[in-house]
Amino acid sequence: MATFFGEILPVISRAVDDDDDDESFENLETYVKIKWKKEAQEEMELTKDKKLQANAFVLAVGPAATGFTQTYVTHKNYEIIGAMFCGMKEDDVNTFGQMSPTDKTCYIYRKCDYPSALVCECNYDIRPEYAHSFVNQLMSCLNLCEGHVVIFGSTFTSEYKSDVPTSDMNPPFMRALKTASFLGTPMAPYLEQPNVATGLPAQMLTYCHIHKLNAVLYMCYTDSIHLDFATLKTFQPLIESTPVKYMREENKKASETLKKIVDLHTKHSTLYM
Amino acid sequence: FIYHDSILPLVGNDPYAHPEADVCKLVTACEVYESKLHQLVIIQQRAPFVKGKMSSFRRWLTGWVKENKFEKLVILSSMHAHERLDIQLQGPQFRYISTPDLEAENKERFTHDVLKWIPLEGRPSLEDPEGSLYLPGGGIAKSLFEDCSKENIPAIVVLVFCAEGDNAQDAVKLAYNLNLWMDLIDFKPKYDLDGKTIIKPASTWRVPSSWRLLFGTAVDQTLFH
Repeated sequence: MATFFGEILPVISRAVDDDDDDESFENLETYVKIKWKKEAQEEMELTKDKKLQANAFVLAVGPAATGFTQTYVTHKNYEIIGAMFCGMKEDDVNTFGQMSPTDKTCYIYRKCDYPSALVCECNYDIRPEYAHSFVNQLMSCLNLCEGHVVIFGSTFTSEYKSDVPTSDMNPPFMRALKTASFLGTPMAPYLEQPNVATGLPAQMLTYCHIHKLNAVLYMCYTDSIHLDFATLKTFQPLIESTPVKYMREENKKASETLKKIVDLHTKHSTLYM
Repeated sequence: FIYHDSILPLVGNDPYAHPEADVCKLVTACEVYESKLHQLVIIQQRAPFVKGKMSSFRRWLTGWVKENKFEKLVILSSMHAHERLDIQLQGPQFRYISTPDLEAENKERFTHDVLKWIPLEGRPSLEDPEGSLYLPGGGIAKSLFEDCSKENIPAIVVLVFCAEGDNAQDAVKLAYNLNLWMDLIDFKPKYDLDGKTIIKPASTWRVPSSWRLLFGTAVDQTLFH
């Protein structure tokens, strides 16, 4: 399709054709792999259903959400017990040593003094096609019956449709969706139709909804391409949300940590400096 | 729910709620609805398929249809308007294709004055001058229909010709024709299952709130200041 300015753009169509069996994503089931630390695996073996008991689970997807959990939750008193890898080949060596917050990591943390509180920080850009496998592999190792799940994610305001113009909405802003089993009121307004959430956060919320788990999804709509203070600050009130309020760790150097995280991400965007 | 790895993930708030309501009733990528009154089960898929997984879904679906012994499968679909044959350019834009057993059972009703349904014309090609089933833009409708024919599941595809864009009217046309045949939504009062309560008739088709803002948020007028 040619635009007014003469550039050629690909046509996106909602209509689908039948002949797609030639292309396929690499074997979906083996593309995503979860690896647990030895101690965690031994613990799982000891339980009846071979799962880790979890009363509180936080899934943070994307740099804004993981920046928030790193600053206010996992910065101390948490140990890494597992990791998820996307696209690793069978003979790759992987260790838990990756250090930079901008690395493509997806670690699972456990609170040292509250072992049934788990946080999964996914800095990776997991494609929606792999979300099903990701969630299934992760949740098949966790026993969350009575527990609370909270999912943090972020996306662009260009994805948000409303009668009100975007500039009047004062981005960044937060919206929430919850499963039927969650009887409380989330700390953000509900996401209005016709807006929907997709990708890994949606897959996790769907899983929780179908399995009747208490879960809330908080989605931050931001107009900044790179991570900025305002976006991180939008998450801040959520440290009082269930179950984060039981899992948080006081961080006196919170503003410094936030600044470091923002700086790491802005390094890539300072094209003209 | 249908929780299958061939469907991309999606969650949202209830599209059938009152627009002013402030509650959260989660909907997911593929849900199953049932009406005991009409002896009907509806699968609504809101998210696209994962590329390469359509056949996996079709296999699962035909297995499920057989296992639950459904009398027939009705596939709602559409076809690219720009692929129409000359004779299809004018006249009703609604077509159907059905397996031979359903065709025999319903032939009279379909050709009757009220419905006047036209079967989809075959597309002649070099391999098949008689014309074969051709449904571009129909998603899995064609292959699903062919799978059903092989498995002896009575199936019918009902479709409209439409172009990319705001297809709300096309959807209403499809629903209207389906309703003429299956008599699902009444535009006159009718008795409920217990034989006593009267169901109020619908006055018109209701548009769900998820159809709003098809083309996104209105342009921000501050751009032009």
